[in-house]
Amino acid sequence: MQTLRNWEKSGKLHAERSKGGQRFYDLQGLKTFALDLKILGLAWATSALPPELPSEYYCERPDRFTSRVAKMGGELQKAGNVSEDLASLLTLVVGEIGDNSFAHNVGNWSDVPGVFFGYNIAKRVIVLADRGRGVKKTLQYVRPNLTTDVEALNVAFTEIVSGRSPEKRGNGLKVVRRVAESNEIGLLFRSGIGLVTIPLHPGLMRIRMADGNIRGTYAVIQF
Amino acid sequence: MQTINLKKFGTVLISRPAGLEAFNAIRSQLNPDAPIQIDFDQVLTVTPSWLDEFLTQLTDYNGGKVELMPTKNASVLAALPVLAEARQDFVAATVRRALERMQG
Repeated sequence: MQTLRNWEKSGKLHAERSKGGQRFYDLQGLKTFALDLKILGLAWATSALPPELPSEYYCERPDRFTSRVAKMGGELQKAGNVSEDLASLLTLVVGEIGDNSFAHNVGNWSDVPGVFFGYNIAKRVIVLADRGRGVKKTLQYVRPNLTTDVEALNVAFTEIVSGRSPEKRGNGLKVVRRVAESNEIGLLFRSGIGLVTIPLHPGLMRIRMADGNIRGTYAVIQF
Repeated sequence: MQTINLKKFGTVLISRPAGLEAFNAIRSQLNPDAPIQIDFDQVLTVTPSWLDEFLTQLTDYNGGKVELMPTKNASVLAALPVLAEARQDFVAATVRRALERMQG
């Protein structure tokens, strides 16, 4: 009970008050708070057979993803402890990463289409994942000499190049990197055995090998 | 001068297909011979993908006579420098003019 009070005190969890002044918690709110989105998203991205997801975390098509991102943006604005600028930039980061999943996998999903998209504003975490082809395979269409996932992630986050060339594309992840590097936004992004990290407090991106493989992409955004 | 209030397309504008759709929706209301200004007021977020696609279509349509109104929108200010990089087209010229005005 003290833990719940501490979470309420720090603004992580909202408690209602009865007429007598006693705290009570909405059951759905508690369940959502207790859920570890990072583990759920990672399980969805990595398991051989995709686990069934609660509908609130699964966006099969881009229109559902777009409407959920807009809803998240509105909730960030109303959260009280997130500035307007941060709400704007977080929505940009999520919109670009999730939209990439759709744009680069349309017609090529290996099994289940769409993205995992979960967020918990109280815990200041947002998770995205897809079971698509991954960054290296996408970029190899325009850069056939790319051989490693680390190399592919470096290209994706630093060069203006698109896996859908000759379409004029390829700006999104560059902006995501700059936004995360210069604001209170942390990013973990995995694809294949490549891992991108940008610290929560403004700092530079690092790319290295991860200790496991993700066929598509998996991203954790913290703020 | 014609003004496009992006708010009419929503407060969160993401994805290239949506940027193209927004242009197609408004195209018939635009005079290609007259300059156009874009107003970001009351928009929470515009992603670089949406903005790139919308500006590319719009500037191709009217020969580059597009101006971006000054804004403090954080997502727009983050996206603009990248949109002007490594290209020499109407979009880059439009963005460079806007950045010069806002920074000057």
